[in-house]
Amino acid sequence: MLTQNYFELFGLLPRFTIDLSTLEQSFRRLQSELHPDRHASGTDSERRMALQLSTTLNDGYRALRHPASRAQCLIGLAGKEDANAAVSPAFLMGQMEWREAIEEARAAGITDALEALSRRLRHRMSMHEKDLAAALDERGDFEAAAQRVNEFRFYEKLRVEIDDALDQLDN
Amino acid sequence: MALLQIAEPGQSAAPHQHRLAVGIDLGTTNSLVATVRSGTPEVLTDTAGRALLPSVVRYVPEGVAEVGWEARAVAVQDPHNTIVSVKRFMGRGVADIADAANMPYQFIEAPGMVKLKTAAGELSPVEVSADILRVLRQRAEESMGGELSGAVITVPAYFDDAQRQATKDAARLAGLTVLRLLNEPTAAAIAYGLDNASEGIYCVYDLGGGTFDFSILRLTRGVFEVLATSGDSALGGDDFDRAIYGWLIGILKLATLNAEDTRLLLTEARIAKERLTDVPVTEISCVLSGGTSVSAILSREIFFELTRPMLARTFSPVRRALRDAGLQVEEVDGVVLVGGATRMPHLRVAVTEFFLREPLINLDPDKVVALGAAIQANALAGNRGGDELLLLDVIPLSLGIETMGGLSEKIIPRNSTIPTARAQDFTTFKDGQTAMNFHVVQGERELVSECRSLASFELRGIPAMVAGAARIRVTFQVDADGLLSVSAREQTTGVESHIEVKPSYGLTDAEIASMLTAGVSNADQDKHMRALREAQVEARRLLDATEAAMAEDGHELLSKPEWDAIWIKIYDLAEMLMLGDSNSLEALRQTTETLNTATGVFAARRMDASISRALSGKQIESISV
Repeated sequence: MLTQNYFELFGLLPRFTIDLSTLEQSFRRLQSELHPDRHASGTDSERRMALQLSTTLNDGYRALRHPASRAQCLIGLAGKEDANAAVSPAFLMGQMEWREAIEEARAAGITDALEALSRRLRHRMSMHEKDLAAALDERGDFEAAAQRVNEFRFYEKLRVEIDDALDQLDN
Repeated sequence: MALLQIAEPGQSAAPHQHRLAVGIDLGTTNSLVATVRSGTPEVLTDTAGRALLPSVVRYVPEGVAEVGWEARAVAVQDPHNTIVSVKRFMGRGVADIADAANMPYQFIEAPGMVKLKTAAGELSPVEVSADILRVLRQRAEESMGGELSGAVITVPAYFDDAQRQATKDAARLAGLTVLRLLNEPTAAAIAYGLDNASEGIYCVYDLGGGTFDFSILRLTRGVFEVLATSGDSALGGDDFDRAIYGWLIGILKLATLNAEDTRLLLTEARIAKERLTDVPVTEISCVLSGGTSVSAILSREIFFELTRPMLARTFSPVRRALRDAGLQVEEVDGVVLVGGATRMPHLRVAVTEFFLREPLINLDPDKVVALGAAIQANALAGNRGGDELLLLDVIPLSLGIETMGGLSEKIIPRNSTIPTARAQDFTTFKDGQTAMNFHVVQGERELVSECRSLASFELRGIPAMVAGAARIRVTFQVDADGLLSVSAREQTTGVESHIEVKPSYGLTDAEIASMLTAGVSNADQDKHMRALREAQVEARRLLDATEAAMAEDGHELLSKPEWDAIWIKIYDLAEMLMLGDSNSLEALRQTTETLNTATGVFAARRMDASISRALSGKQIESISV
């Protein structure tokens, strides 16, 4: 009923660089027709389908909104799921340093230091996004992209760690 | 029983029949009911013209419970039997209730949820809440002149599954059809947003009697998209009263108080708190049960000082929600205040300082939640004017599964837009393992013991393999009500197990039935009549839905034989309903199911038509390139 190609679903070209406002508009237009609330007085079959379709829309929207999952979708569409995504030892070393810095700031209870780390991380992630765009949209280098996606996931984890630490200091 | 009208094919009897639907704000301190009349939401009042119904119930031996103003007036004389702020106990055990020792109630530890000992026996908070809902239902039916087709009931956004389930159970017990449980701040945003035609990022700061909720929404042309929600389900206006109460005990050097005096001083504390909104200094004076007069002067300065830590506590969920939404405070376009407690002057100052802007207060903070719920109820009932509103809400707490070492593996993170589904693969731990137990939990903490347990279920019949060879995919599905179902499937063999997550705190259907028929001798007969009545309502609903759909686009989407086939099933079911035979429960259910099956293909085509409609209006990027 709905295409499982999320780019097609939201009327976008299958590229890493997308227009987020087009994505948002398509999402809202589709949900306005398919959300279970729109079919609350429909037959059971209709309500069941609305639940499924609306779920697909939410999942697709989430997948395309976030850089790592959007890149993963493109890698999947190209049939390159098996691309070598192993991150380098140097990257892993960098991760250790991040972890230590977060832990140090948390233990010392310095909110400002955590905020600074959070800003630095956001900057790093936006640089990474540019790398992903270049790898996917310009060079079609799926191996490099798969690696960046993997690294992005590490950054996501760091982001959650920083947020949790901030939350902990706040309470 | 009323005769069913059957329209000729293609001429639906009443395509725009207005359904009576209400929104109910079941609050900690006060409850309200509202509806949409001629396009405008309004709060329904009692015969004395009062909108608020105090959420207070007094139980007397062998009599009808008193609810509302009368009950509140005698709370001081009869503190054990007069239940105030029952919402705090919904879906909670004794251990969950902070300050239980300072409350004038006799709590009884019961499986799942605490019970209260009253003159009318041991009562569950679900039953007490149902008594409040029953009064509101009656008020609505008298005011609107007919039976309600359904209600939207609001809950704090930060309520967990157990608390939501308890609320739903209370509504069922009160004979209400729940169209949707709606988060309170979301309801407030709907009322506010539609009233002001707002666009942009809005925050709702909702300090109720017993809970604090904070939500961030993006409003775009009638679409209300919740970006993040957070809160503290054990912090509310009541705590500000208790702070004054504690101060009174201290300065008056009152050692131990009986239940009557505790309730008296808590009431005086609340009144003093409310007075300080308008005046800088107030006097508290009353006569204790032993005849001693006590009095004290409370100034705003002292009150502010006493409650500053509580006020500060509300901003940590605020910061968390902003972080979760990835927003800076400068990006917020407006802050809506909800709940009577947000009238406190120092709270308004604190909110203004935090958000760098004056909060919006042009809707009554006591009524705004009920008004929003009424708007949503109107939309869900399918009444005219409801189709401009779309609500995209989120789950407030992460849902996960217990893994090795008592850790929670999050499957659906908090603030995911619902409905949603996520799957994760697990494997066996031992060689030859043929069964696997799944423990579903809710909460943000890593340790399962610090999360709330929702359900456990087992997948059996896994073929014996070496450890780690089986691939078991666990799928979580959360529907638009925020309710979870979980299934597990072994991928290589297809062995499957499924559970509708009913928290251990929820009541079983049998318990609901026994509460409904308590004291009635022919309970079995009652149960049967109730089941029959529910089946009739369901059949009626399906007939209405099918007829409306046929009238709308049956001609377009169905061939003549398909059209006739569905109409035959419609007539079958309508006929059976008209006969109204009380022995035909099973037959009625079967005929309903037959019509349901017959409309499957039609429903699929209707959904396809919806999709084309949504896609046709849009500029496809791929065309313009």
